[in-house]
Amino acid sequence: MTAREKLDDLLMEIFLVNKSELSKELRRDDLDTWDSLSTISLAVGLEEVFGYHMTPKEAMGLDSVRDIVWLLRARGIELE
Amino acid sequence: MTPLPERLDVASMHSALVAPVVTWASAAVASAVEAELELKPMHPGPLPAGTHTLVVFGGGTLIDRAKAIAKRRAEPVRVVAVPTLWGAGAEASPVIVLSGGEGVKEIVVDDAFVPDARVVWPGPPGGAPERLRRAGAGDVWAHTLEALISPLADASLREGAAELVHALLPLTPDGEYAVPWLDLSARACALQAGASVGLAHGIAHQLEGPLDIGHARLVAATLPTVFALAVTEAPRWPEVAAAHGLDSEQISARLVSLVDFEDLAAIRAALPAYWRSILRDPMTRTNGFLVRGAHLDVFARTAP
Repeated sequence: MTAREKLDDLLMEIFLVNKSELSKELRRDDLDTWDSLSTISLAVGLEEVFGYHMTPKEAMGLDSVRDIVWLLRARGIELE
Repeated sequence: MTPLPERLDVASMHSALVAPVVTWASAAVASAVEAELELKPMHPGPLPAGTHTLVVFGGGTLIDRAKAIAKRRAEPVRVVAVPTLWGAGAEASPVIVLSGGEGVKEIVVDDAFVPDARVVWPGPPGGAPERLRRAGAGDVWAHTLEALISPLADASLREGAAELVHALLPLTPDGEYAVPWLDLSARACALQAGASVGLAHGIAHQLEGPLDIGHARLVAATLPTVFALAVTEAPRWPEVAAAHGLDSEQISARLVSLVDFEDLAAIRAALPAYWRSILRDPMTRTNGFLVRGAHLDVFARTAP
């Protein structure tokens, strides 16, 4: 599984969306499953899958899938 | 960590009861409360005007009800909580869980709900049925372990949880250990209030209504499987275990000794239908590892 596939898999689990619903343009406001608890799940999941421990400030700043991809890329985790 | 309420024993309890005192007691202990402690229980309900202290003898449900009624008044009433079993930790918790209609539960967290004092009364808890003593022990373990790996726990809280693990390991849920169980139960719940709960509580929250199996029994039955998953999946576990000298196998063996296999069979049969709601439960979503759809299979194939 590629890194991007791992991320997509993770996001589908956390936000309970299908592959067809997942895109970089997907935003927090688009999903009722993206709430503060999802952010905790995201922090746990990113640590599990990528070994990256997100700071609370970083977590609060995530509003879209694009933000998540940028964050990982900025921390040296290439997804594509 | 939520500060623990003042700890009293039965001898010092009476001096802590400032009149007018109202006493509530569960049916199981009402006679003993009256005969041994010279307190006359009233039927739980609205408190008479002018009540100063409410002393409540019971499990988590009755203590939470007492906390809700006493502390939601314009002039809060002092609460002295006397748990009749270890596990729920309501006597030390800022959380109240109130049952509404159709299995709906209201969960409210507020430091104002921490009782003013808790009393360690070893007799009745030690005499509770073995099945309930084991289940209560499972609930204490769940509070401890879920706090230990909680994504919301800080280093100090983890250290406290690890200390609890070491204190719990030698204990079997026998009446002779009632006092340490009651003390550790209170500490575990206060600790957990500073972190979060996790999957074992998420499962219990979703299945308690449908299966008519009590919270502690549900938690105790699923905890070994949840812990086994945590050992392999929680990114923090290896580091936490190494830092605090925790032996996964030793812990696992103790958890398995608390399982009621009839309860576990009923839970396994129900899980597929409720797994999606368990994944979405707020308690599951603060678990120490990400709970995935595929983890359902682990419950089906893992034999403790």
